[in-house]
Amino acid sequence: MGANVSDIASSEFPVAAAPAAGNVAKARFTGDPREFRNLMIRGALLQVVTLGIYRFWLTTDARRFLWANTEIAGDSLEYAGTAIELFLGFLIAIALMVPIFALIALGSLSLGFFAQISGAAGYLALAAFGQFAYFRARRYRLTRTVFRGLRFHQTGSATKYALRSLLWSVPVLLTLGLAYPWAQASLERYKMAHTHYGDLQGKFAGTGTALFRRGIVLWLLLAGAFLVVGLAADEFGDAAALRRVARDPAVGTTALIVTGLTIGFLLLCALVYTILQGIILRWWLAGLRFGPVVVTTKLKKRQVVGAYLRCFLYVLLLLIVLSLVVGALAGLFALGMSATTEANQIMGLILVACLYLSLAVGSWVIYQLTIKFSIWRMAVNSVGLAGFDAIERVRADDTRPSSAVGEGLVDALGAGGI
Amino acid sequence: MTTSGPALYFDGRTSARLAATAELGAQSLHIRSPSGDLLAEWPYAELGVFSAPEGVLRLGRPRSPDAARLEIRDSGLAIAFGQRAGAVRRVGEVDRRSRAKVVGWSVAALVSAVLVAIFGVPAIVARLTPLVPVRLEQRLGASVDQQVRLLLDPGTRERPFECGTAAHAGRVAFDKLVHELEAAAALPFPVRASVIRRPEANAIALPGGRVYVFQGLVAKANNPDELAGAIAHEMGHVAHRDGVRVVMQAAGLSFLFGMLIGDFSGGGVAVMAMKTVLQSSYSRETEAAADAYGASLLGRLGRDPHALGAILIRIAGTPGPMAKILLDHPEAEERAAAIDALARAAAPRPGGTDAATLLDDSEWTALKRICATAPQQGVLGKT
Repeated sequence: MGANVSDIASSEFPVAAAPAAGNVAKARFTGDPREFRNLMIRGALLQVVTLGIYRFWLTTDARRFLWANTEIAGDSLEYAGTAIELFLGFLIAIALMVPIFALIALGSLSLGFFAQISGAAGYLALAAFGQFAYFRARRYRLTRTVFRGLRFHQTGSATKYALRSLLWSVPVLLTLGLAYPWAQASLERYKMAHTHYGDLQGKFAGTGTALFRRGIVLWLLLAGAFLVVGLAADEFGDAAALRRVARDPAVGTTALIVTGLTIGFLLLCALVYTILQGIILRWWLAGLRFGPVVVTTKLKKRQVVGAYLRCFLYVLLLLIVLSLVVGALAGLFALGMSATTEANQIMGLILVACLYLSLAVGSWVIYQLTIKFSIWRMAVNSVGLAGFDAIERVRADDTRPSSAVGEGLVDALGAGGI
Repeated sequence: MTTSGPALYFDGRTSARLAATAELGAQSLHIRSPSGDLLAEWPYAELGVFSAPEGVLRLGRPRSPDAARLEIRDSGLAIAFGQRAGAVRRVGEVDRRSRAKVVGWSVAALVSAVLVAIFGVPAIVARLTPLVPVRLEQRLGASVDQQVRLLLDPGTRERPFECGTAAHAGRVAFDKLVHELEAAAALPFPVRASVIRRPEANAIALPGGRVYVFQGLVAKANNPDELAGAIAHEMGHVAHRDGVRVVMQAAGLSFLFGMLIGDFSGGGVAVMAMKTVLQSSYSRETEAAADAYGASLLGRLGRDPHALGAILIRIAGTPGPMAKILLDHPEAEERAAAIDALARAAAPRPGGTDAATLLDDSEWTALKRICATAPQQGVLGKT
């Protein structure tokens, strides 16, 4: 299994391990962003027209594009799934979920004890079910991923995975997130150990300790900032209340300080979140193994942060443009017509609906392009595969493509995506 | 014309990338190794085109258990293949046709759902409502009552939610008015009406027969007939069991749109908007029916049905320009006009008060002061 190679190459020193493993293959992304953009814009509009049913086709299109343009050592991946499979999976999931939702609704309607626990129990059950569905969906995606005439596949039990994830959530919550790295590492180990490319078994070599070391500074920063803001709000809050009684003009200043601190804290949270995404992505990529093949990455945290920043700025720009449009149209309305006739009211409603839709569709497209697409592309382009010659000798095993029920469940639980 | 050329072959058994020659035969595609051995023969009828990057024609057999692929990068050969193979199963192509069907049919499904929501749901609900047991409605009413009290004003010991204790002269007068109406109304279950300490000019009927008349409405009423009209309107809601109806209509709409429409950007809001518009259209019909009931109830007691229209116009605010479609209650003038028409059709007498008055002057004065606890009357703000 070439375990020695993966042992040498701990995720702490991914690049140093590369020369020891022999030849290094490069991955690169060959797709044209404009093509993906057109796909997304058209897909978003069709989703609106079909009230969301089109999402299965859009997801399939997007995956086909991303997979086909992901090239590893000169050969590209292939997504062999179809939209009809996803749609069927969704229908099956609906058939399974409707009674469950009905039971939860019934529980909350009944009086007394059941009403009180049904909310929490329902949430817990749905969370566990979501993890179950996620694992099954991952199996679908892997069996629909073809590389050099062989499929990926996934063994393991979705129930065990859901249980593992549920159990880990307890220490994560109790330690206010400090246990998250080990939880993540444990879950990744389970997923990758059950991931196969032909007869080559996957493995996850990243450790919770390594992720913890990289993230702890951010955690401390956030905790410190939270304490400062909390104390300040407490301090100034009391003082402000006292002074308001005394009609002191300094009330405005303290209110301003508290507001400023809160906004600053929220911005810090957003920044920490994006940096954390970069750290986790880098840690995850560098921890991937397939038999003797070691994945290395040159991904920079600031690339990921940049992607989120671009998303934020584009959405801001969209908001500005739309509010200008609203202003202009409101002005026209006020000048041109008396707003009492029914026709004008209907026009107004249609206008509001259109603006709302352009905001929803626009920000969705921006998110898909600036975050989903860019991060996929930068991750692929950053990757090298040491010891790639092992890939040349992989044999098929007799796995069949799995059903898309998992995907359907993920979708029915409102957590679907590309 | 090109009939053979270089290609890459992945045999589906190993991950080896094999240089091969693809030959376009009469009925099938021949894949040969550089030394000329036949590696595979794929009939055109079994072939499918799979997704691939720009400039690569990726062929395989969709029905085969393995994922063997042939990649042609030579554009001349790819074109020749297209001409030779003719009706090859293009996975993308099939999808394009099903895609148009998806768009078409989901629009049809939406139209059908909207039609069902406009015509079907009210019709079904109207037939189901009488079948709902009264006890169930009363239980529903009890839980709605709890929420209403929390929402409006839980009240305090000194200023309870409901005005006037049982011995209060105003309360006695109010109960008398309600009993007179109830006697004429013949409702499926008893009404429990009270005046509550709210400044708005409004009244509400909850499922199960509870009616709350807001203090603001008592203040705005010029005579017992107008107040009786408003209570009679609420009794209309009780008689039609509109509380149950609203719950069932909302559930029907949630089922129709919530199930059909998936979670996508803006989907949730689209559903909410659609439900709001439909629910307010239901409610316009419901209010009109309650108006008719109220007017006829006044008529049966020998009182002037126009009193209901008069108080409606008095309490009507001026709705904004956008509010009309979304307005729960149809505009007061329209409703008053409808009531007038009903009054003319039902009772030929021209708005006279030929029967004994519902309350005498002293009772009416007491009723007007039902919420006064302290010397000053009315509580318009919370302390």
